[in-house]
Amino acid sequence: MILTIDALTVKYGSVVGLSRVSLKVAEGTIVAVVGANGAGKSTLMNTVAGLLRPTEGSIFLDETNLEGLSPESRARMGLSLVPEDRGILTELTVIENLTLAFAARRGFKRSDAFEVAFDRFPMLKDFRHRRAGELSGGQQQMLAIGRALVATPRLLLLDEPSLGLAPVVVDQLFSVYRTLVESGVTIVLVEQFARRAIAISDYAYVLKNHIVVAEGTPAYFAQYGELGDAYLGRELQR
Amino acid sequence: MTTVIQALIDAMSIGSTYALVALGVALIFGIMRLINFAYGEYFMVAAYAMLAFNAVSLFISLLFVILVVVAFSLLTERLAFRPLRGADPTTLMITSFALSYLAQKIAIMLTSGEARTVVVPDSWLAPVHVFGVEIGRLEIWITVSAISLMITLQAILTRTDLGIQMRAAAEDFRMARLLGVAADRVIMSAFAIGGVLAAIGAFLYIAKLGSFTPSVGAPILLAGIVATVIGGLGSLKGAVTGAYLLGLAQVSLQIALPTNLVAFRDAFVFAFVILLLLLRPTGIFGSYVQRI
Repeated sequence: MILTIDALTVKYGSVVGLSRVSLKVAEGTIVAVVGANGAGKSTLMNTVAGLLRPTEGSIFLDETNLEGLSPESRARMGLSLVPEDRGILTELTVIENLTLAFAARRGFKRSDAFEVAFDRFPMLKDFRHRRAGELSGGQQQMLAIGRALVATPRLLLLDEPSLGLAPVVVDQLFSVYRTLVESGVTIVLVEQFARRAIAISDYAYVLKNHIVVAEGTPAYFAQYGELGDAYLGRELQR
Repeated sequence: MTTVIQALIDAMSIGSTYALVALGVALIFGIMRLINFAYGEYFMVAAYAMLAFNAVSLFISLLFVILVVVAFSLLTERLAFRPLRGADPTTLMITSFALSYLAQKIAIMLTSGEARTVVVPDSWLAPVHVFGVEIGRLEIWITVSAISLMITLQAILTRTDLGIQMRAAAEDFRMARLLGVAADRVIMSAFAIGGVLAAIGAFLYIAKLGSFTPSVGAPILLAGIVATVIGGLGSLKGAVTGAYLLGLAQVSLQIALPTNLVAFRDAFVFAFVILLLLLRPTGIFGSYVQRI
């Protein structure tokens, strides 16, 4: 397992963000985490990335306990989060945004590293000297993922990448995930497009009210037809 | 005509000193949201460090001053500001006040507050005559050094990994860290660069003054902070513009005001600052979103 989360509880003061969430991600797979707004998906991602401190429970990257490690140390260990707001530095140019990925990575040829992003999203090459703030939402999301790729992460956490994007751009993004896995990246995909996310995943978790209410393979979820049931917590709750 | 040119050169030189302070203040504010009132004490430390080797060699003296001020700057970061990382801007500001006060009082304790004199070779003070205009050599040095430092800083910020990381941290510290940017490293770099700017600025400023007391940094810090506010807090371009505008306003008023009002020059300067802020509350380049 590249990522093992065990009984993770996160509280904001007295408000619960996550309650005893356990989750496993095998290397070279896509794991989808779906759930309604406020279910705790972003809390989970931010805690794994080191932005939030868990109240209880543990997170392991391979065999390493991440407890107490800063976000930057985690990034250098190969963990890369593309947050919900995409985290584009709008004042910087496209190429400068990509350059930032080197902070997590050392000793390699730079031009080659940029090619990884340019191959996947050719638009980035054309706009490389443009200020990132001038890009459209979809282009910014490609930049965010492209930047994560330059960092050559082992584990890529994508928090609602399709949020607010045009359907055609969403299609483009979804078509990229599988090829990323083939190039050796493991992906945790947080989505509101639950059915779609589960369909391209190898394994999926459903979060509701800060706990895991269902988990299984796409085939398992397919039996239930309407995924809405999982959100409502009727048949899938346990 | 010569008066105007002379005044412009004076304004450039005063503005340059302010610009170095304003840049140091703006750089640290951009990354940490800290308005560092202790920055004036970097000038004070520079002044005392000048006493050590000034009579031996100016070059060695300058290097020593840079070394001492950078060390002092990093020490303030490590001891006073790092433990408060993530605290709100007001807490940070009050801490910087306390630090400023403490450093000044320690200096007074050690020197009984007496004025000290720095030795400056006559060749530095001898004016240069260009087309009938008399220009102080130090004024030229101050202006040239400030502009070179600004160009260097600009190059660092746009062409080096560290610079790009510093700009990223100024725009979104959380995201910069998620990308692997080491928080300590960018903050320490900002303090180190702030230290270099203060050291060189102070070295030339104090050479011009000839003598100083422990409160030497106060007026210069005030000018630096006013300049960053005029320009728009956090914007480096704004800090530099604000500094030169302030210098220009001071020099023009010095000339334009009737003799009996010259003593109140700064009152007029600050009235102008207030007017400017009424018209543009975020400063010239300020939007608070657009930082460095």
